[in-house]
Amino acid sequence: MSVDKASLQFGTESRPEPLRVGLIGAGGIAESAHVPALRNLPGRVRLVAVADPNGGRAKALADPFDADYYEDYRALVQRKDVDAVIIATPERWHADITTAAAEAGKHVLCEKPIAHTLADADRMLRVTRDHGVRLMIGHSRRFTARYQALKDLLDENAVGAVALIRENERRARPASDGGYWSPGHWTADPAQSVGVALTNGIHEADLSAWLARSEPVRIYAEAKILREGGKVPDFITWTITFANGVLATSEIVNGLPPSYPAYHQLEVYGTEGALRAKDHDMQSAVCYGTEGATHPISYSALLHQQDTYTRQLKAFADAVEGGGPLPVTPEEARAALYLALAAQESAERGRAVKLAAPTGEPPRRLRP
Amino acid sequence: MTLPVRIGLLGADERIRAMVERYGPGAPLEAAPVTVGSWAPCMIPEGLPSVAPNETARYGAILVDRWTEVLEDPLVDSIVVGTDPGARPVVIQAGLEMGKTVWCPWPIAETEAAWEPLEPIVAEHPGQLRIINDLVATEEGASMLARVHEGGLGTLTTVYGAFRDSQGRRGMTSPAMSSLTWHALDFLRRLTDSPATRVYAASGPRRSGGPQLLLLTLRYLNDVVVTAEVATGFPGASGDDWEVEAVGTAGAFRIAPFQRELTVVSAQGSRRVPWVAGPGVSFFEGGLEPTSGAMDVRSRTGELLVLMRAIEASLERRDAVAL
Repeated sequence: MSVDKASLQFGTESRPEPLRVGLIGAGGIAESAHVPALRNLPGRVRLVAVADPNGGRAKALADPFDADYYEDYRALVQRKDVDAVIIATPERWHADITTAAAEAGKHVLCEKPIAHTLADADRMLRVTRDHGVRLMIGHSRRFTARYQALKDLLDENAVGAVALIRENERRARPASDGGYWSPGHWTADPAQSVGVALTNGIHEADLSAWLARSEPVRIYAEAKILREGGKVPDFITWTITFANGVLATSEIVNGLPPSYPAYHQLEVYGTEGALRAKDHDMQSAVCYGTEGATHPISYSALLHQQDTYTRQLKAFADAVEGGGPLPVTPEEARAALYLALAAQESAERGRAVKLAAPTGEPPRRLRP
Repeated sequence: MTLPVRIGLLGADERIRAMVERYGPGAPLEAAPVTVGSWAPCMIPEGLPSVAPNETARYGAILVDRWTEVLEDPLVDSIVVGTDPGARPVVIQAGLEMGKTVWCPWPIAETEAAWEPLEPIVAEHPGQLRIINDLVATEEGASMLARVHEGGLGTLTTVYGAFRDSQGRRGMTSPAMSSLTWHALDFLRRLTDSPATRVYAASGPRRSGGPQLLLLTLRYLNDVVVTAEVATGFPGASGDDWEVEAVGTAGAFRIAPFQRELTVVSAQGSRRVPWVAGPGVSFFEGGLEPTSGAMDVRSRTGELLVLMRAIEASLERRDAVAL
């Protein structure tokens, strides 16, 4: 996918009939990413309603748009004036909500990962296909300007044959007042989350395959629980071997001290050069205090945050209304889920997992 | 008062050339460590294809015909071995038997077959063989070890390390591994202070002009998980490029010793100052304290040889190998 230069002028584009959108889920990702994207595309999309079991949160997000709100998503998907829904809930609800939306004729833009099991993912592919609606999974890194630029460089053979892709991700351990991995948050609840392999790692799984331009054939992973009292892994490291010989590795840490900068580190090594994009090389602010250095805005300054979700939403709206290809197909999202689940299986077994071809038989525990 | 130490140099690798630059009579005064008062830099002629005699003379080095002359020189207290890894066991043995303190970078022996005859000789000369670890020799690497061992990070949980020799200066010790792998694994072993119990290795295809990549995932007995990359000969950079990040229950620490290299921009383009100008040759400072510290060279060598074999087995089986 090439960089969409025109998409830098999100707010100026207007059409007679904006895409009418319902937002399902009013948690952190909805508030920090999807709502700003909706706000950035006023003539292109229009938020009609928000649904969340926490009605107060739904109302808070809906009010600035003069939108309605519901505590039950099923009421939202039955509205005649909703063309598409954005699903921003924990992954275990994705399949049920997608099914309800598709059966009501709504197109779906769903947060990553596509689902928490391959069986659910297959159900989502099937129901959207059967009802003739579009399904796109929000693998947001593909819409980051810098990753798109790096992808363009690889497509132009800027570094020769790719040998290694590294994407590392660093985040601080949860603050006492909530957030990912904190007690009570769904990401830390084994009933709702399998842990870092899907919460963070799904990004790395998709990104690696996207940049490698090949099918993964083997993965090995080690995982850990870093936070005291944790019940699901918040650390994982893996190595993927692709059919074309490319190696991809990712190490994802969610247990850094609060003052440590959050960052991403993407490196691609080829036979004729290397590409690097490291957040920590671009620190926007460092505060040196008596207790050492802190990086107060490192998270919000991560480059993948900037305009990413606006690009993603615009690409979805274009595909829905124009009928063109989706920039992230449901099949690709399923492949990323397959890879991330294989990583988890590898970590649990302490063995490498041999991966099936896309149409082949997956490993025993990964079968839908 | 620190007594001057007279050093003999054997070999002509990058390390030796850096030391000639740094400690030789023609070197800038401020670059000379105070602990080195006099020395006899000798080189092996047959190991000097790129170091011509006139260049050696430029640095005031004494050029000898036979490498054994360095060992026979009564003015030499210590030798630094900078030969090809395959020649090191012979040189180490001769140096120890001549009563010299021997400084040698990893690997001191590439295989069990090379190590077995050397091991009893090392045992007979306790404390005389001292290991040079390129990363420990950096200020940043030493600081990281100190910080971790003092408990500054709480309990160590995970480590990420990238060890890159961009120009492939360190020789390959097997089709997949370079001598840099030894430095990396020894540094990680010192950092974790625990033996590895499981390793998974993957290596990239060797393409003409391309990098040699070795990716390692290690789990140690104390449950620390390490992700490491050892790369040699990849294009696009001119020097070593190392990065290590250690995460513990109470903090994290990241070092990148060679990323502080200067970038020199000229009409011909830009280049980075080579690593020889960096901090990588400081292992003598501090009065010739052994960088091996409390490490038992014999047991560490044996342990790393076993780990190397496990890595090779992992590459062959394409699966993790328990140790």
